Amino acid sequence: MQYQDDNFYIDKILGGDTAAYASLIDKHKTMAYNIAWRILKSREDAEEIAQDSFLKVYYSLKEFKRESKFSTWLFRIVYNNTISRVRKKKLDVDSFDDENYEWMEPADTAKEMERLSQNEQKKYVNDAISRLPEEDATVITLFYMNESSIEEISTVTGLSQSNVKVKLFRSRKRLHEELQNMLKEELVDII
Amino acid sequence: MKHEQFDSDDVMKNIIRKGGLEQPSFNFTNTVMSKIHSPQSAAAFIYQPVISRKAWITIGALFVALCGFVFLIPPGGNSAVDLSKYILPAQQTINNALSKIAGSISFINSFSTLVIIAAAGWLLFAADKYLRRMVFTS
Repeated sequence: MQYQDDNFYIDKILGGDTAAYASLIDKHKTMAYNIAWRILKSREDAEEIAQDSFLKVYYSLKEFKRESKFSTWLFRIVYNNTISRVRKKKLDVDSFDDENYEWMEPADTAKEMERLSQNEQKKYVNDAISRLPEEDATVITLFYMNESSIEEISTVTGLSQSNVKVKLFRSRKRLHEELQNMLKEELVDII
Repeated sequence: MKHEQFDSDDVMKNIIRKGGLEQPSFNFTNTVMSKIHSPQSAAAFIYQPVISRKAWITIGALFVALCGFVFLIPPGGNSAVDLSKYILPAQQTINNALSKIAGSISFINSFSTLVIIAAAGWLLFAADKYLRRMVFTS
């Protein structure tokens, strides 16, 4: 489905057309949900956070100054609400086992991944991302899945732009190592 | 804004994108829209200022009443009020009123009292603005 620019829907909503908000929700719900899900790792909690964030955005729409993109503002609220929930629940992020890997180039990892079915590839990547700290998982998701700029990611997460770049670099390295580990285990299971 | 490639690595990009995005539930949008139309939801999410408009009007009215009360009381403490006797130059009148407010605290002069009252009012206003900004950026 083709969507209009966010300002088109915002103007309609502020003009009294509440139903136009449904289009804004449909446009951004997937990414909003994924930002929460990547951190909380629970579908129910992620849905609740994402829905509450959309409600908060709706009632604050008059205050939106349009200095940034609507999606950046929305995702910032989702991210902050998610982090608040994590701190309340004091969720632990799986720690990354710092084993010594036989280093493979990303191209080799990609070839190994191609041997897997599509579902397995999806599972491995999501498992690897889920092991990252919450900030890193958010940065990776926004950068690769939403094609957000460094500046937008900085606004959403509250990190400096240089910090975002450092996290991107380190997260990709960790993801690669994590995938290698998983692929090795897969090989062992097959043998 | 154009997507930045600060470190070109299309291979990792393609690997990560294989993860795809999880989809929220089928009735996600309907659930949000139904909550928008519920009064409970409005009460939960509509911003309520820390210091309401009524409170500001009350504070302002009390301040004006206090100044007026001090202005109208004759120095001798007599109950009769004769405004015509107290039509003094504006500066002298204000100084007299503020001196009465300061009372027995002799080291505080009229100007300091005025500054303290103005500062207190400004602090209340600034605190409301700051808390309002915190709510909307959170």
